[in-house]
Amino acid sequence: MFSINLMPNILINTCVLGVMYILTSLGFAFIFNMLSSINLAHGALYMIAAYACYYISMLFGASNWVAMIISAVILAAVGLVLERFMFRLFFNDFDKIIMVGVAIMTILQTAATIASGTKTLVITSYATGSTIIGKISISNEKLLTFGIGLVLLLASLYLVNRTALGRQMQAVSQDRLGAALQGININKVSALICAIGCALAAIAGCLMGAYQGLSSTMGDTMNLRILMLVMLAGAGSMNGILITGIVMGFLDSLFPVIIQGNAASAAAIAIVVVLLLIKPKGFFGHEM
Amino acid sequence: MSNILEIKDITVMYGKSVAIHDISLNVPEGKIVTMVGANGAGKSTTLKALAGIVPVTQGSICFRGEELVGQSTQEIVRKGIVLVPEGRHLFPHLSVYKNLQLGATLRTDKIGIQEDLEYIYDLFPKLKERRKQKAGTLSGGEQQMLAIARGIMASPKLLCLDEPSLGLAPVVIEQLGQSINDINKTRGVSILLVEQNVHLAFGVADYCYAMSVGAMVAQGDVDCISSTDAVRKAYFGG
Repeated sequence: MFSINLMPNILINTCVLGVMYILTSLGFAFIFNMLSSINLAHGALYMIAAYACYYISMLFGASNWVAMIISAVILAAVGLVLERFMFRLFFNDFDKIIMVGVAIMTILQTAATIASGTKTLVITSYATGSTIIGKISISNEKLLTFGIGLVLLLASLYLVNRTALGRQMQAVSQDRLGAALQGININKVSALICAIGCALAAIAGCLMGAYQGLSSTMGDTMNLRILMLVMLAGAGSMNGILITGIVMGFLDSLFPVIIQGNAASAAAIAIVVVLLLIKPKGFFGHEM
Repeated sequence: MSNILEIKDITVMYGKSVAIHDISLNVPEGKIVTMVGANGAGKSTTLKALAGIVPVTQGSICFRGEELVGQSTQEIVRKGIVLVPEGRHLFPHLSVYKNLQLGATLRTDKIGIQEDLEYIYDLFPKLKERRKQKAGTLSGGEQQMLAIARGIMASPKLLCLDEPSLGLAPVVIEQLGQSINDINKTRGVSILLVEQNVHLAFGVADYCYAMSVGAMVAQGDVDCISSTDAVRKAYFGG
């Protein structure tokens, strides 16, 4: 049952989950805003990255840090391929984008299921032990996950708001023709952004694979979160995602404490649905 | 006098329908040339073909001795042709300053960019005042100024303006005319102006082309042509 003593733990989990949700959603939001495409496979990419990390460290004996980096690089390459052969090819063709997304999702999920069989896999911890801050003991695993997530998040914000690439990316999402007329190479910017978005999802997957364990459906769980928080934030919003990510993280940390079993996840999503009914266009404005 | 731009017999198709047919047009170096005509005459299509936004089926576009047909928009901008499109196509959620920065996307000469920025702030003091404001919150006239300013930031040799007066108040249009003149005279930028507003077009231009239903129907010095039947017909679709 809920007691106030659990609050610090809930808040810590909120931070960890929130940052991971945001990190994964950023790539989705980039693609959504820039290419007006819904990448339904984004959650599956997050999942397959975690599996890649696990198998790279298992089969080649690499440390899981190295495995995480290799996995992120592979997924960045996958992002390039997706941009070239999916988003660019089917630009403005909603049906095809959805179909291909579902197909990729199914293929990756099946592959993961075949690879792992019935075993429950976990990426070995990136850090062990715990740190005591004030009166609260926090596992180093959580601190590390949160820390890496936060650094990448700040780096992404810097990229979007302060660099030439970020500026061009915003230009493309706001007016494609206008962007082309400034001499911006739309395909190149799109490709880079896809690669970055997929790599961010990969790193989130690798971290979560240690935090929550691997499963072929972890991508579905994440996909739902991504869609929820991008919708809640509203199209074209990036700062909004930062806030809805934390809200989603909070709901996902709080409900398992007060409600048992799968109902917790359902309750969290029900709240999001209610919020969407109140504000169908999302809570935040355009700034991307 | 040499021509900075020579368009020769270009044809553009949208699917199977002909949008413009055998259009030829010259812009002399350092001059302002205007293209007039009724809605649907193919003026915007001509500019889009020039900027590489729509493919040219036939003919050639020669800019300072180089062939442009088949080149990407990026290459065309790099060579010095900038199109300020109809409807402005600004980046509404970005600040005025960032819009201007994006105009200079392909440039690397920091000093030149800074000089151009100062020139623009001189020419349009309103933009300097509002440089931190989002472009979408500007008035129509200010947005048009920003669109032109963003074009200048690319340091063009030929600036193409598509209906800059659209939806603007007469007093704003007058200022616009003065600005276009200033850009042409003090910067030496050749200008190709597509306009429906005859006062603006004939007020600033040296030479005029009239289009009707995808074809060129008349051309001549502004003083001579403004009274001809062809222009009247081009306008009234006669």
